Amino acid sequence: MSKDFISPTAQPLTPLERRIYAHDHVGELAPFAFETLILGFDHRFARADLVAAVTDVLAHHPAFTTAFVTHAGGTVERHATGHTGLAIHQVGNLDRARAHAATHAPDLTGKPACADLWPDGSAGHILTLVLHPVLGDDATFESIEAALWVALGLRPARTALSASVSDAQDMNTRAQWRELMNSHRIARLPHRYVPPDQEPPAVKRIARQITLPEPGEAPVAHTDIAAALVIVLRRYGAQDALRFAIALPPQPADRRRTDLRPLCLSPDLSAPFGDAVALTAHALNTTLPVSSETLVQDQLAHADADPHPLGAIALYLRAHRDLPEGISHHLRPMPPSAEELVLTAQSTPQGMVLHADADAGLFEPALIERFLRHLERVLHTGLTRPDLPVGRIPLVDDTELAALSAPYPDDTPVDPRATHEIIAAHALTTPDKIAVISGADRLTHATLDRRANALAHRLCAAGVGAETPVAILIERGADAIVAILAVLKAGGAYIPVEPDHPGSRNHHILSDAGVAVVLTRSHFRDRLPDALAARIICLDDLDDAPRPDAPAVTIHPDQLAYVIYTSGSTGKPKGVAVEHGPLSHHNQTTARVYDMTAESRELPFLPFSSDGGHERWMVPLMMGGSVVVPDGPLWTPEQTLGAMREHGCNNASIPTTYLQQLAEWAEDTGTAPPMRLYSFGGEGLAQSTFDLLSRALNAKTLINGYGPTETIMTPMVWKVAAGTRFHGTYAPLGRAVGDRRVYVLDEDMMPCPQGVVGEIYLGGTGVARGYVGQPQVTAERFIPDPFGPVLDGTSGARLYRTGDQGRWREDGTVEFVGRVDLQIKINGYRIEPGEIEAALLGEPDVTEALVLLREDGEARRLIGYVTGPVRGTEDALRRALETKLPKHMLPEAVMVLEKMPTNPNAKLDRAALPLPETRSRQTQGVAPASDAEQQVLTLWRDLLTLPDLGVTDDFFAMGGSSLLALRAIAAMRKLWPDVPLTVADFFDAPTVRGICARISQGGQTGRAAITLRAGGTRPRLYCFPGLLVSTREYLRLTDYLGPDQPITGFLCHSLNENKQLNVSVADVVAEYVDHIRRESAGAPVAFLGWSWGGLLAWEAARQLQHEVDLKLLGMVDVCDLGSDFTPGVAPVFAPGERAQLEDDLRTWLARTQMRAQWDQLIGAMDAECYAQFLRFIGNESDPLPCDGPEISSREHTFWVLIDNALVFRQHRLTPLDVPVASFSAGDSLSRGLNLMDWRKWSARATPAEIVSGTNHLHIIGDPAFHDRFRARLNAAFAMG
Amino acid sequence: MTLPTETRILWRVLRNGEGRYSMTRATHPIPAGWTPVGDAALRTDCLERIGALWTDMRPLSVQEALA
Repeated sequence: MSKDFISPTAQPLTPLERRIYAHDHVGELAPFAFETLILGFDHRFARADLVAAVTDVLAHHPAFTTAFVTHAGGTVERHATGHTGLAIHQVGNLDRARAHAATHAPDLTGKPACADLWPDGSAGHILTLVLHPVLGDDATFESIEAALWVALGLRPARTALSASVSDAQDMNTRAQWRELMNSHRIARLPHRYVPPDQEPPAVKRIARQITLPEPGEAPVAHTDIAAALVIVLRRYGAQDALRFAIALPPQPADRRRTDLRPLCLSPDLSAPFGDAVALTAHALNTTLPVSSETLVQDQLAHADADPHPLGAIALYLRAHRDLPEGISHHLRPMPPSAEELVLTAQSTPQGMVLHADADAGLFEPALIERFLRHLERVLHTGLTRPDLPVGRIPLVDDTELAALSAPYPDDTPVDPRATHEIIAAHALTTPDKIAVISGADRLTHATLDRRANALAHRLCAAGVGAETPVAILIERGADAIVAILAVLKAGGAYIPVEPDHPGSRNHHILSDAGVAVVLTRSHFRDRLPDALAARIICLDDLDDAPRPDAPAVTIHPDQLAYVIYTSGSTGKPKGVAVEHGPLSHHNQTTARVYDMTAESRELPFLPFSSDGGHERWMVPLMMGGSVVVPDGPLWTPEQTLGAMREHGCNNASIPTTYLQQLAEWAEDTGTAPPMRLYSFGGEGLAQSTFDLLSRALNAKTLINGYGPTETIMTPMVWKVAAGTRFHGTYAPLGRAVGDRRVYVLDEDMMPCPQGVVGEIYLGGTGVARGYVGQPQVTAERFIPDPFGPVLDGTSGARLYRTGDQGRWREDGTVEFVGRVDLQIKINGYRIEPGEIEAALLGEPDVTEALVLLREDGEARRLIGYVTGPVRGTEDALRRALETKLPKHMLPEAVMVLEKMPTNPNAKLDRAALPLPETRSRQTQGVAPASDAEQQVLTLWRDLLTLPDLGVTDDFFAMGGSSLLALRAIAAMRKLWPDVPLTVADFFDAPTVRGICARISQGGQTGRAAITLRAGGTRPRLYCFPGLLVSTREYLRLTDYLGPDQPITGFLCHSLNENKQLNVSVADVVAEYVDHIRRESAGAPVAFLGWSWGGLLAWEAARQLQHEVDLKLLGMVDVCDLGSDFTPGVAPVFAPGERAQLEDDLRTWLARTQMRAQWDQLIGAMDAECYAQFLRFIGNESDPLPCDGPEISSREHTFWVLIDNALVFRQHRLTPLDVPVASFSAGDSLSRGLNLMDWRKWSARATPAEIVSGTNHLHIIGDPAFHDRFRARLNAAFAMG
Repeated sequence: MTLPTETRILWRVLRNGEGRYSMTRATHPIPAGWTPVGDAALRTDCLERIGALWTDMRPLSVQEALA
């Protein structure tokens, strides 16, 4: 059926219908699906009655009487001329009916709807109704059911449904929505970590369902569910002001309607559930009417729009549908699987059923299951405990918390002796066994003990006893170990002080701790402050004979063992005081977790100023083993590996940064000795570093240790076999060790669900006493433990607040995310630098990443620092981030460093990080060297408004856009009328000096091809331009496809110097074809055509079909001519309108400066085209532009558009046998653009892939498109 | 990181059996083994109270053993 006029009975499609129709047209219906309703009728309904009633409904309901008519130019209408017949089956049952409905799909050109009546195997019947999604959804079925009940005489007829709901789309409403949406961030559940290049899952969606119990008298209301969802999303880490998409229970509707709209809320977690319900109800009742298509289009106009503009989570609320007696639902359609998570809350007589349909590529099934449980808990607790603040509703229950927080299992009874007492016992059992090797020193267990005893007696004589602080100012080595053991034996507390640390720091420690005695060497005496009120004992002055007996001192378990100073965030180091009981217990359990024995020989590389350094000599000695202590801090990797080999070490404990150097050395030289265990620790360890350690170090087991000094040495470890993959940004911190528990808590001190980021807390007995002399800071950081009493029956226990952010992983281990105090707030957005760092670490070659908010004078600038890549890749890294992160999270600059600057303690020195210059100027404004340079420089300075621009500054790096480049070209043409110049010249030589050199050489300028990437082993990709495309648009794609993909881009002919009127498509591509022929004749290639460039690519493929090996032709949002200029579509004018329009045109032509060009163009039009042109002008809401002929003016663009339409309407496509992959922007579908279906032109074309969440302009820079295009390229190249 | 609303939140000073001091939000339950010291107050006032009371940071059992 075809008509050339719009019939009066025809109805236009709504934007939603247009979108679904377009999905079908390009061959990709998802996320929409055929809508199926299956009704059961029991024996009370006779077949004849059913057939009569159904036939009646099929004859009258619009869902069954619609036919679609497509006009030239792509306009589609609904006509009431369709017919749906009822197929009556004599044999069957429910299973057969289901199977039949699933396999007999409707189609738009034939039968858009199907109806089948089946016997149900007993005495009843089954009716299956299947609709194409463009015809309706569940609400449509509700109106069909209503009509059926009337036809069956079960219910009285109702008044007709209102034909349509008017969508208020005025600018005011849109602006209000925009403001509301932009101030509420899209809520998401935590995505799982996806390793780079992982294949997408075979099953695309996860489906889970729960039935919510009815806690009170009244049934659970829909607003209760929505309020519970708001609370759970907020508790799952969403921002304070959040939004998700919601659909209220729909009214029965003849046609499909969109009911989704964003629900924008700022829940108050300190208020009770009733408040959240009231807030939600208010928000639902006061939303302004608007079509969701309008909102989506509005949001997608921004290049950085979210792919789910309304919300990444959608909640559909559905009311119970009361069926007449004897009739049941076997199947009702579900909403489309369009969002990351689609929740459907269906009221039923049995209670509220909550169904989740989640993206399997983004979420762990377990997370979705827990999320549903948490919704249930919030709802239940909220309704039954109306006074409880919603932030205090437990999401994690006690059993789950007990499992998540549990330490490594260890039920060995605790040895009550202190650390030094256990070490001393080995002097009796294995006196002659080596205990300490350091430099030339070889101490047996007996020697070590006897020397320590001698010194201990002297300390006792000097007044050292319980709680007496004794400083050890001795370099790391055997003597330092003797000194420490002596202090402990005397009952005192030792304080390690590194002789080579800055004097001011050491002086602070000595005075702050109230040190009574200093153990040192005489040559360190001058490093002590003059006014120190402490007894100073120099080891080299002593001549005490070693003795077998220790002083008779009893150690109380709560007595002080050591004080270690940690750098505080305020600047002055704080002394952390640790007691004997927890220390000994920690060392004992650590020995077991590390599988240490008397055979253990460890090389501890950690400094003695950190507590970890002490654990790693104490534990081997407590087990009767031995340690090899480096006698200097600066061993080379060669020395370290040599020492391990020479002394037969089997364990080593080494800071991560040094271990990495060691591993690199070992890998390069193949000199890694076989080891049982390496332990290490430090800030976030990336998988690539972990892989290096696994590969190069020749060890069986690796342990990543974590722990603030306040929780004693290494309270958490992650112990794994070498080679383990951990599927995360950083290696897990693991689990607690000993009598400790680890918690991840939110701001309300409530445990976070797995996957949700919170602050890490450590509790149990394994925590420090506190900070020396700082009761207030101690009280703030060591807080009362609310969980110990519940989980372990302890009382009065404390939790230490680490200040580190983490989350529980799926396996229950804890993952490090970042520092709490580094969390940044910019423009109201909460930003986790760790998230940006993780994105940077995901880039090739990046080994370390750090993101900081730097104060730069008045300005606050977010800067990313990385090590690993070569310098010069900064811009590419930043562009890569653009594809991964929302705009507000993008660092202003990324800097590549040789290495991260460190302070004496091998910790990061933030202050030493450089600040980037405001603009990436290479030199300070180099002055021009010729007249030509001077002229061009003056011009560029004006355009860029940069009065100090130099001749070697990069036009684009200094803020120049493609548009400005076009203006610059236009101006430069006036200076050199004979020199052809294009944007290509700006790309290849983007500096004043560069472009002037090209101009003076002659014959170098004016090309239309730009090499976006020269090298690479893959077949070259040629990108054909859309209208006014300069090829800069392809930069992101070029980055995404990587260094191995050579790419050439062509400049749009309308930006070219030589503009000709009335050219053909063949003329336009002639230059491109020549270029490809020269470069790639006989070679494999791929083409990419965007928008109108698709037709150019097709024409080039036709001309070159026997000359190149075209592996793939990518078509991106390529549209056929719209109805405006399609040949054969006669425009319609109101009486007198045409004469008026011609009058307007004459008036305008009299004024425009482009008169000559327009006259030429209009002269080239035939009568039909001229009429179409008049109609086109008449349809324009804005007055005709008069700002030409400047190349970037509106009038110029308008001229190009019309010129292009003339070229286009003369062009005829021919079928070709080429492989085509086509892609359509989701937004183009809902706008009803007349997208090409390439399957009509090539047998080797596949249905279009739809890239949702982007539009015609932005699709080319969209990461989701890049990902799919790369997949298609890979497949095409792999086929050979 | 003190937000304007946070300054109005009330806290409670708590003390455990070893004479260690700490604090919790007044709206949160008091964990077993801790007893409140004085009335709920603003955070800064609670910290001041702790500074005044907690002059010997050794646990009570150690203080007794050494007495």
